[in-house]
Amino acid sequence: MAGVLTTLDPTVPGAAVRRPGHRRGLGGALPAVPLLVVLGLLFVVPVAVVVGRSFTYPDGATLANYRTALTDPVARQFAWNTVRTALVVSVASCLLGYTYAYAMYRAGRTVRVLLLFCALLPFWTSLLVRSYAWTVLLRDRGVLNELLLQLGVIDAPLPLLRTSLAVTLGMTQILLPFVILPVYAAMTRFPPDLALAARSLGASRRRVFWEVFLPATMPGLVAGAVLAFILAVGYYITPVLLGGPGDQPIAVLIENAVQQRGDWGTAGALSTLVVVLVLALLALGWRFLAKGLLGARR
Amino acid sequence: MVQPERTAETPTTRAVGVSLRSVSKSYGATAVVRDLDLEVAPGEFVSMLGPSGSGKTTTLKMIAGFEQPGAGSVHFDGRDVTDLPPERRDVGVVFQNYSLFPHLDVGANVAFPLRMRRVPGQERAERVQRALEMVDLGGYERRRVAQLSGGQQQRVAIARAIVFEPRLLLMDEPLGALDRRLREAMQLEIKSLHERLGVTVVYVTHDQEEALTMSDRVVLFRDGAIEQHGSPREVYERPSTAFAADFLGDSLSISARLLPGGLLEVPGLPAQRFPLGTGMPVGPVRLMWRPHAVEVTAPSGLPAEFSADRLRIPVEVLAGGYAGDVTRLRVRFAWGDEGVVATPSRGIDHRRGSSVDLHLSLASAVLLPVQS
Ligand SMILES: Nc1ncnc2c1ncn2[C@@H]1O[C@H](COP(=O)(O)OP(=O)(O)OP(=O)(O)O)[C@@H](O)[C@H]1O
Ligand SMILES: [Mg+2]
Repeated sequence: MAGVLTTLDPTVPGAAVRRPGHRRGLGGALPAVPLLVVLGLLFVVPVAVVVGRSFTYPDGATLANYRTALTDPVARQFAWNTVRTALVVSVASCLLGYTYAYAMYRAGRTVRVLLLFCALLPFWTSLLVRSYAWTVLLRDRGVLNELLLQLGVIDAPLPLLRTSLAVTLGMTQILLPFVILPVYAAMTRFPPDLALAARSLGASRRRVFWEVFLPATMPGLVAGAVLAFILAVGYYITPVLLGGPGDQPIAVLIENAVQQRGDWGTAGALSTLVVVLVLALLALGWRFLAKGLLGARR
Repeated sequence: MVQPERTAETPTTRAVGVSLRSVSKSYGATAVVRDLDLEVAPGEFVSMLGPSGSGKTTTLKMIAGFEQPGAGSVHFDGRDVTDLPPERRDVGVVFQNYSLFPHLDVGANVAFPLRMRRVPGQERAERVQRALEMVDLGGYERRRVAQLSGGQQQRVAIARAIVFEPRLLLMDEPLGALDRRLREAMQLEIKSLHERLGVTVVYVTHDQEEALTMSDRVVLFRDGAIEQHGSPREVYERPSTAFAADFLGDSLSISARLLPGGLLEVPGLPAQRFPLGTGMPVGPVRLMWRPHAVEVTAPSGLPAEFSADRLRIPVEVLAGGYAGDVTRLRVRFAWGDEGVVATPSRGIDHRRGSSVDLHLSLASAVLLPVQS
């Protein structure tokens, strides 16, 4: 029924109407220039040096370092440790972070502020201190085991420290805010009318959550997941302090190559591979990161 | 839950009658809707009109089931639905901001209510297609919502609200975000949809022109209560209060006084027998005319005159605006009352400060009580 509208509606086009984005000139970024210069010096230069060495160490242009990095079974084992831990930690952070953010979203004002405060607490203590705190909690004669022994739940201390579980716990606690914040931001951007619309269209509360709320806030969760994964890939102190031999990350191998053997070539190649992985992830997740962290720009 | 019928062969049987009985709603200490009674007949197009904050949206939300009334009850076809959750009321709702699901494409948005009702895939696709064609968006199934213009998004929202053949359609300022041209086109389209579907429509707006042109009946809200309701012509031409008169459009009014013995006194003039039974107590009243009911002539230079059932009063022009076939004048009486009249654009000096004569027939005057 070709009708009144097509003739009257000036906006009915043959093709999709693209909203012109808020394009601002590069001039708007001027105030950021000094900071960019500092970041460039502190970040780009060292990375460039490391990458450079990976192709030139020990004597002239070579790909040998990459051959070693990619084929050495030890390097593979450590790479797998890193990726596995990062995956487990990201999934755990997403599950907990989404639930936590949802609790914040549903809570009253006071409780919400309190929850936000608690979520941000880890930012205010050093990474090292927090990782040591977990060893105090988890070691054989640590707080948790003592408690369980006292209560008679167990007869002998559970081996908790130096396990994957300990690493997961420690890293998840630290990375949780990076998931909570973008997810919570996405939730606050969720228009409440959307839920009402879904209800009127026949969705129960439960279906509104699964079919509307969760998908609509998904960009925030993906942003959090990408952030958590990227940060987890670079973790060093926490897995070293809390993990067993099977949890040692690639960072340990890199450190080892430099400190023990002065092998800047292999260390450089391994580092470069990690950076490439992270950049690839960033490229893949960029759309979500931009949307999840900055909000959808129309 | 009553399942909507599949076809639109007998549209009127699907429409539902709505009644609100002594409905009240407060947020904290603020009463937002107060002891409201409203009957909407099956298939009727009713507009809820009123100033911002007068409780229109809140009333709509109680009909949709988004809000629970603090007191009173909501009935569909006589059945009490006060405690029925929104997903079981079979009511289509269209919001001002469209409220399309951003993660779904156009087709999936429209299919959503059918999916909730477990309509099988093949039939679902057909009905989505038909609904989109109804709003002239045939073939838009795979478009992303964000790629559509405001008018297109609103039409997707309408398609989504009618695709499951609801018995009642609620619209909360659905055209508020659109520009004037598009708004007028959509008004026509919504009207024609209403006629084709035979569905009951409750339509919220604070644009009086929109309410008057679209509705079978206009319900005027004020401070959470109904000030007046009736056909567009009734409420426009026979407003029952000064508030209704002002809200529904421009008018000219003068203060007067009803005296014992059926006499009417206008400022500065001898009292005259008032020709109509008024049913109003003796005391101050306002006489109101719509712009088109006033005759405007060039100034005669004579003083004001009250004879038989006609008044002739010279007034000062405050502002004049040429508007095509008519010129609208804002005028002021010698005793200070101001108002708006319309006159054919011929032979009238409408510059500020000039003067004209108004001819007012008492037969076409509306008597309004004076608020105490
Ligand atoms: N959830 C709420 N909590 C507290 N007060 C509310 C809430 N919703 C509405 N109100 C108040 O109730 C009153 C009526 O609101 P409502 O939205 O029904 O008005 P409206 O007639 O739709 O106005 P508008 O034309 O501006 O949309 C307003 O004073 C508003 O501030
Ligand atoms: Mg409203």
